[in-house]
Amino acid sequence: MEMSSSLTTKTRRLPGDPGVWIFVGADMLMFGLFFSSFVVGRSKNLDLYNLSQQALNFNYGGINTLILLTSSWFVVLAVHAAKMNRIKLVPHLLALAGFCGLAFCSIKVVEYTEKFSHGISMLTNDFFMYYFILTGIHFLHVIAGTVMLFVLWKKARAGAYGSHNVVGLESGATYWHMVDLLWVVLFPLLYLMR
Amino acid sequence: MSTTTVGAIPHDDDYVAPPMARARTPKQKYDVWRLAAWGGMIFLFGQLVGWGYLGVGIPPNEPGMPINDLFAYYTEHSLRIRFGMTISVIICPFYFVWSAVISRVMIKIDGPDSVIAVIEQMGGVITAVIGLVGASAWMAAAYHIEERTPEIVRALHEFGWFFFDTTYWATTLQELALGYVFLIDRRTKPLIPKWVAWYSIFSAVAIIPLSFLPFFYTGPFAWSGFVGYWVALGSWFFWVLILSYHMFGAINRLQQEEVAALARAATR
Repeated sequence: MEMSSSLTTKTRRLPGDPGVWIFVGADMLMFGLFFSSFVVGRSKNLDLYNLSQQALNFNYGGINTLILLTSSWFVVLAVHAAKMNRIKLVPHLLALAGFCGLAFCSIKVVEYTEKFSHGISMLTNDFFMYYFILTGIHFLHVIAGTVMLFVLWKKARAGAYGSHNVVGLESGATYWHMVDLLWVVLFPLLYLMR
Repeated sequence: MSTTTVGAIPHDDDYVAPPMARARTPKQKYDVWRLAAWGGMIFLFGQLVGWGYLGVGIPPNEPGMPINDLFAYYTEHSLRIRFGMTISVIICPFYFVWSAVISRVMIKIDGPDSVIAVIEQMGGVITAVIGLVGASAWMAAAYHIEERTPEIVRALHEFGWFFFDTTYWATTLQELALGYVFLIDRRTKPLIPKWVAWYSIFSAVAIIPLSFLPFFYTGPFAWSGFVGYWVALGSWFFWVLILSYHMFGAINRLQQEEVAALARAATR
């Protein structure tokens, strides 16, 4: 009886600190407003948006999607390793996830530089206003997340995470998955939607 | 030889506390804290009336408004705007009163030498200054309106908005500092609920689009846009409201903790 009740609590628990979900919810709501605003703006000026979209490099966006998905996968493995008490493995997986974060940032910098060199900025038109601001704010989330992964990596190297303590790691993973999810919405919205 | 009198403040051996300080009970001390904590509500309400309603900050006029329309607007509302902004500059300092008591609560978590509590407090001071300078610029734009030219009115008007909005990082640091300290609270029941700390961090992020203000005359990222105004300032507004509410609970808890500690010391 006791075992089954403890199992129920275990399956029902939100991963990480429950408060981090407040942050995730509020942040996604904010991005939700951004996305709606973009869709409304697009519906009013469809031709301009479709024409401007052709100036975007689909490959950069696509590669970055794969990078973030891979990174999220490494973080899942890190949390799993911590729960299985494979403490030595956790920092390696976090480092791999962090490298993915750095790779995403590098590609983003190349992409932005290319746009600027073609004389395209957020003042070019409404489409590029959304492109630069939405990806820019998301970019800040990736930078913050990469710093966070570095901090988690340092703590994991000191052996902080195991089945006894996984809340901090799970909170970080939750945030990182949100960053990934936001990109998975941003990418089709800006690069693919016709 | 150190003397520990119940209710006394900690002091050096040769320091004689003035009778007032020695006589102060935890209730008397925390009553002052509670009074200061009202600063947040006073600030919000005063700003709604002074800056928002009388000063016509809610809703704001668009930055793309034609210059002559803006001039006509200032001519028409000259007295009203000056009156509203006069209330606003009286009210703004209550924000740092409120921020001061928050930093005291933070010290109870992060320790008396907490730099982060000082950063929170300074963030509060600068945020108050931001409100003061913004309101003064709008006040000046409305002043001597019969002798002003439209260009000068617009320059002052725009300066007011830029000082009011784009300088938000002082507030961001205040929110981040506070969010961090309330997250590391190790009490079984934290002084401030963890979700409020997380909301603080969100609010620090949601205000970031204000950096796009100087680049747009219209649309969602202009100072009147739904992101640049409603999302950014709205999330901050609710943050002051939510935190003010929970601050009273935290102060009550601290008072109980101190009374209990004194009772334990007396029976020892």
